[in-house]
Amino acid sequence: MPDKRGLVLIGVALLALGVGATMMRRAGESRRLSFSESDLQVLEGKLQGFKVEDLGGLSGSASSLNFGEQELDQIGLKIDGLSFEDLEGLSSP
Amino acid sequence: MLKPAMLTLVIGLLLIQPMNISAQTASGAKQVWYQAKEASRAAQEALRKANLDYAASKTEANNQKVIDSSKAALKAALDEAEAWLNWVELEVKENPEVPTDLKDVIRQDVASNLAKIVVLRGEVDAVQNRIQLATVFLKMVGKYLEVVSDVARNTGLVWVHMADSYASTIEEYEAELRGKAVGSTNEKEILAKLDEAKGGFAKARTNIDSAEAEYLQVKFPGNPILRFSNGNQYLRIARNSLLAAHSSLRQAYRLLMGGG
Repeated sequence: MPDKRGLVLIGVALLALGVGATMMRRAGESRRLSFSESDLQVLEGKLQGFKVEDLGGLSGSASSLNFGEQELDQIGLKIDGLSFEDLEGLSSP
Repeated sequence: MLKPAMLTLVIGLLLIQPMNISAQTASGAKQVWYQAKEASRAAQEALRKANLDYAASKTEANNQKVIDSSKAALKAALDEAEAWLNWVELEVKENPEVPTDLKDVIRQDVASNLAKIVVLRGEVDAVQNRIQLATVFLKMVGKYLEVVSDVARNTGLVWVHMADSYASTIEEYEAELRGKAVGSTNEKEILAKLDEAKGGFAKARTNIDSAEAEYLQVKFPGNPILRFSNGNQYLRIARNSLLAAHSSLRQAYRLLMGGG
């Protein structure tokens, strides 16, 4: 009967669509990650900005976590800030 | 009408008020430190001049001027160190990447060094002659190295923590990508990239551990500057390894997402 055949065809078509949609969704889910490319970019930015400075002084104009080499010379409490010459007379009190 | 001295006092008080408020933040404390630094330089200049005067004419008055300006210079240096320590503490306190336990350690170290400054200030006050001046000066040099060592050690440990957290993130991403790569069309290629990334962060971890071991040895007496430098070297290698691992990770990500 034509009506019956039509119904079967519609059923088959719907089934095919359903199976196809499920397969596509699963494929998408299998690739879904908890992070995106922008997270990778943020991480890269942090790594690029991660600077390790040698001990130059007790300072760092940009951040306290950066020791700037030149700035040791600027600190007032530097060791040679007050030299032994400043204390002349020590040998002849 | 207000007399000039009274006017100066009022203006002084008005200036001090916002300074105290701003010193509650890292940026404010930094400004206070810069001001202390300037004052320290001025005190050293005054000492230099007093020394020149004494060299030109070795009178008792000039000798006393050298002692007084030396004391002023030492006190200014202590003020500067104090302002600097306050700034360091606030900077660390405001940094969300520094863990609480490390913040506590740094706070304790700063407090201990500030206490040393209070003691030294009293000793400088008590100086009456050049011998006492020399003794206090040498003591200050020793304390200065202790302060530098403490801050360098803590700074290194903060860096270690940061590097460690970056390595952990890369490790997590790598594991997740590896799980998703299995069964994908270009599985072999993706896994090769992930193997590279894994090798990179493994190398980074080894160097981060070595850096931490070195930083923990940054103590005075000892060889703090060398230890700190060694730690930095390890950490720089670790950073490069992490960057290489990140690059491989990104390539794996693009391959998996069909963009590679």
